Amino acid sequence: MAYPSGAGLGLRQEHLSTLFDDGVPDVINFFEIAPENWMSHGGRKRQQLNTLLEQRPFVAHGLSLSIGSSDPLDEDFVEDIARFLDKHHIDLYSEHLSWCSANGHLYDLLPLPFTEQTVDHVAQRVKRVQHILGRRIALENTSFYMAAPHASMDEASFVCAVLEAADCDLHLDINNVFVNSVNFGFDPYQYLQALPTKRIVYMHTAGHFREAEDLVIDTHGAEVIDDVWQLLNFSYQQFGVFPTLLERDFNIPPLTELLPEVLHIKRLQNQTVPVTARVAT
Amino acid sequence: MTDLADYQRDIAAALRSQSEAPFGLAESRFQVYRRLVYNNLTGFIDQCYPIASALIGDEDWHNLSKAFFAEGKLHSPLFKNIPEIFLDWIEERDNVPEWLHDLMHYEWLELAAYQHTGEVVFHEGQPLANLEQGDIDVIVNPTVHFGIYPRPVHQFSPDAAIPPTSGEWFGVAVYRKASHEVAFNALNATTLQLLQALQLNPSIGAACQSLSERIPNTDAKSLWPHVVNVLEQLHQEQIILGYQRRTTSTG
Repeated sequence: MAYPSGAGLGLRQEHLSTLFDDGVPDVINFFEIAPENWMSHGGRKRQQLNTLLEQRPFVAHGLSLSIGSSDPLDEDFVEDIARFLDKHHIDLYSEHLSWCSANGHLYDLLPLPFTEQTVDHVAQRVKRVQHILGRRIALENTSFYMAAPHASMDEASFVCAVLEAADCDLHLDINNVFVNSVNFGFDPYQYLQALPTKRIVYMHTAGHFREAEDLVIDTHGAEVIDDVWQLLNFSYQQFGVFPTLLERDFNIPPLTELLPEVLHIKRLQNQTVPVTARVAT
Repeated sequence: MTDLADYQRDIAAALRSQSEAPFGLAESRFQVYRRLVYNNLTGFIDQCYPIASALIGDEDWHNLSKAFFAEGKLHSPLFKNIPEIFLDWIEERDNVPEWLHDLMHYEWLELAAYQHTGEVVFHEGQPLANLEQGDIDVIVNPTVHFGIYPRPVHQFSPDAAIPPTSGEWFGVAVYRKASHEVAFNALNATTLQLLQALQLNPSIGAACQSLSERIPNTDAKSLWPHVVNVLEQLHQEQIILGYQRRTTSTG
């Protein structure tokens, strides 16, 4: 399994024609897609995607696996994902540490209660998914707006416990750490320092919408703010450089307007001294 | 302690019914999820059915969307399937105007053809007249979807009144061309039957046979020239993508 490196951009249908006609800008090292949006689509956009798949590595970032749901795991769907990944030679598949279905889909990411029961439940399902896919998967720390009153641990402890019990990788979303730090009033730097470095394989960064002083909505609809860039830089210093994606899913501007942010990821990556080269003081 | 399955069941139920937060969750935060899930779901529906929603009116459409979210069986992990699940749910309701399902079905055909995974490869030439009668297969466009309705739903617009039924049936074919554009064609009932027969069995001979059984006092042979004319027209429109000689199996 070879994961991409450098800086990437979440592929949007709105940008397909530009990328197809003008070529992929050098600054974009890889793309990310949601398999759900492409696995049974044909037509022009699908043909354009197939061309791009030849030109850059891709990451698959799923939406509907519902890894924390109490509904039975949709194994037919997991097998469809397996076929999609194999067909397009996509090595890295990540999903959200959340749930989005209970007796049917809700099509949005909902917060899991941070309890031992949830840890065990998610871990069993991750193991089953990894078995069907024949590969490790990465789970992403998800942005939330409410917390279960019966939680028995904080979010960072929950994330660590799930990764350990499931023996899977961490897809660290820096913006989500910031969003949750505002929504639940914790220190995002302390949160980051609690995470297991050895399990990180991939990072996300994005913009969001400040709805109130204590409420941030994770819209992916604006530029990345300075606080989030600082957290990303801190993560690179702390953990080393990992392939990092810019997400932009709403208020989508022309492609060229997103490239400076992709370039900024790359600059931060380039100025990071590799962890292995650091001298202990 | 609250069981995970109970927790998820009650939260999902409160979201589907757009009710207040369960488990003492902060209402100010739960309403964010109520809004997000509802807007997300209706976004997929509204995009697919612009004419139906305009003709029904905002309030009734909103009520239908709400009822669908509360009652619908959304078991597909794929967002693209939401409009079709909504369509099926509408079909089972008896308190909606009788034209609504037909119009929505017609609007959904555009999405179905647009997203269809079939490849559209157009074969020019090969005039039908030059091929030997009886052993020719047609290549039906794999993306084509048909509708047949008791009202001309393909002519409905938000500004015009809904016409009454007249006993006449209106057929349409919706499909993707080789250029990737979605095309719409009005068809008469006989042409539609012919195409449906060809979808099941691409042999022109078999299609003529099947048609002759439905039309009184005709035989397959006498239908052939008429069918050829229709097929040539359908070929030009790319509903049929070309012809190939039937390979008969021996044995």
